[in-house]
Amino acid sequence: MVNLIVGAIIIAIIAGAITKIISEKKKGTKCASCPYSQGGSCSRVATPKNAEKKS
Amino acid sequence: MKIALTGNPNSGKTTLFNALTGKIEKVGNWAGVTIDKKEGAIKKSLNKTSQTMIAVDLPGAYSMSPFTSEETITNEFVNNESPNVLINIVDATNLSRSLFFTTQLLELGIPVVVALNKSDLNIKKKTIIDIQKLADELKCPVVETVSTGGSNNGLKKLIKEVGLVSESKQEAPFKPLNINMEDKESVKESDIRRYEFVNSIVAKVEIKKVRANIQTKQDMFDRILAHKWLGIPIFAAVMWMVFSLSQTYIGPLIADVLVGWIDGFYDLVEGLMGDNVSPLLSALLLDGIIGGVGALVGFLPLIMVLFFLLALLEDCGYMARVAVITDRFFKRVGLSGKSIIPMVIGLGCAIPGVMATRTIKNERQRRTTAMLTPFMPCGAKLPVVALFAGVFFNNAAWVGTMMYFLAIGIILLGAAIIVRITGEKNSRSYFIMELPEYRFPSIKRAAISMLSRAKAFIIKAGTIILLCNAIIHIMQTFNWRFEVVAENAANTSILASIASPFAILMLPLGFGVWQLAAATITGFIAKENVVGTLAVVYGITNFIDTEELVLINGATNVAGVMGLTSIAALSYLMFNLFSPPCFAAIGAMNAEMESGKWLLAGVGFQLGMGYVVAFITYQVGTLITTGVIGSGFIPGLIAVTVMIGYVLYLIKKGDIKAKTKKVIRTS
Repeated sequence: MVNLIVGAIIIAIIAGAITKIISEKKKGTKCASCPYSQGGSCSRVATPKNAEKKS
Repeated sequence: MKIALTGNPNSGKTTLFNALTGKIEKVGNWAGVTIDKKEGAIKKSLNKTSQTMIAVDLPGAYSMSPFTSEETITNEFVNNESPNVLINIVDATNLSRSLFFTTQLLELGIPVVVALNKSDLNIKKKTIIDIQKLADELKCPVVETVSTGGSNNGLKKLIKEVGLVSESKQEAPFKPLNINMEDKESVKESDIRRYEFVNSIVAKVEIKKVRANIQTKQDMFDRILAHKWLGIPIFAAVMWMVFSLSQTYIGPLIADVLVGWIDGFYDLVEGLMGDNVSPLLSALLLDGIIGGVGALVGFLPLIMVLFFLLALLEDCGYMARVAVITDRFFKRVGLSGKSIIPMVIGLGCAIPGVMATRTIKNERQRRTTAMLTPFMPCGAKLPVVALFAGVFFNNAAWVGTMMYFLAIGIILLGAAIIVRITGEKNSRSYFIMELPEYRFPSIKRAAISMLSRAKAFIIKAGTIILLCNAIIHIMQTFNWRFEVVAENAANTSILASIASPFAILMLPLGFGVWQLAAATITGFIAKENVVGTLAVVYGITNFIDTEELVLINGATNVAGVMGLTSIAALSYLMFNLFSPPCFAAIGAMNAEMESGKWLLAGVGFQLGMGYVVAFITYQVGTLITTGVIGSGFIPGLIAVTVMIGYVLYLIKKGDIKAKTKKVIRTS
């Protein structure tokens, strides 16, 4: 019984961590939890190559 | 209602955005911090209207004719996404330069409200601006704001004005000539007329009591801090002080308390489980999850103090001076001072640092900077630095300081190599940077920056690091037949069998054991993993207060448990710091470089650089300290010679390319 409880706690901790990583990725964070790693893809930026693609 | 925040770089747009929305976007007392647009709803306490107001923070721009990628974002948003109102943030201390852009915005027909920001600095400089007269001249409301200020910051009035003008049509005070954008002379003529108009307004509304040609206290500071020769030793002393406070004095003091709590929690969980729980589950929870994460979280105070001090330096305007003093070195190796901005941002995290390279127009410089920025010791590498400085060098501040300067040295060397390989050694670059005013750093802003980093660190420890530690623990517990490995047969575990081949390659670097190789490999997922994995594989629950280690393996300290000499430890630290960054940062490099060839070359270069630096450190260090060369010298020397030889071959090819280019240009 005790083993079941501890096993369930471990599974819950790991599932929580995975859920958090997935939700961060969905928010567009490139590195989980990093507040400054959100941002658009470089393809939206007017680099010379993208300007060529647009035209 | 959509409100765009526009203005020149470093006019305080993001600080105003944070104050209006309650968000904590990255701010910095220098130009070029914001590279992408950010959105947020204006706080209810400021917005008294019934409709929701969405503020959009845009990167800084000097004009509506975009020259850089971030100016393009501003230009495209204002022209294509039809915001209802524009808040133009004008730097009150630099009115004539700021109003050039204002007059262009006023021509778009979108209602404009001018936020005359940094008004507090004008009071100090005894400069008076007639707000009403300025509003009459510009034909739009002007509100004095202090976005860094407390309750009397002008924001309520600003938002009230936004609500009032939202339905109106904006009149332009300046009528430009019909110009042909293709004709350089025509554009120049139009710009001159616009400047004349702006200067005529400034002459009417501004009274300056301190003349520009009088040397101020700021100029006096700059003559010392940004001095050609004094600047570098002053920067070294500043960084040494930062590391002393964070790694030697204040940081460990707080860390001791935190580690005590973590140990207490460990004991509590152990006590709650009692003896009836399966040893496998108990070890996974205690050593794999709590121990591994706890060992990393123990370093949190050291990192918080470091980021607090770095934020203070940035906020007072000193980091912008660092960009200036390093510019002449960067110029010599084919980069510009603009490359230092991503590198300073990279001190927090390599990913936004690499993303900031998009402000660099020159493609080679942009790619080179994206390749070299991850060499800067980012926040994730700090626990690794702190661990080795603490365990092997008695918390010496010189370890961290040396890593920063070594990183700058490696970046300069790397840039010098790349500029030769690409055959562009004759190219010259120019860097103009507006130096922000020195100001007393805001404790509040530094605290916010520190807390957001701390939050990120804890979340990362509780997600990626926790998962990795759990997996590492399982891989260390079982062999390939999924049988539990015997206590004295750890070498047969899944983890050992995967890491061992890599450990052989690391032998010439002084750390050819599978445990250290495994920690290095997991470091590519996130650099903090190096600490977490070492904690799991060596069964160490904390690296700060290591008294309990006397009981483990008969060793008296962590260094004894790892079985490394100080030189081998330094070599290991350098390899982890100067080899490729985490996968997420490599992904950012891929996005910014826009070239698979450059990405591959970049990762190969980083790996080679890490290997060569660690090899030289270990072998030379061992020779000096013991009088004999270290283990694995001959195979290591062969590997290093091959790497250096290949780079020299590429340089020779690049030189031929450069010569050809020069001949074509002169003919």
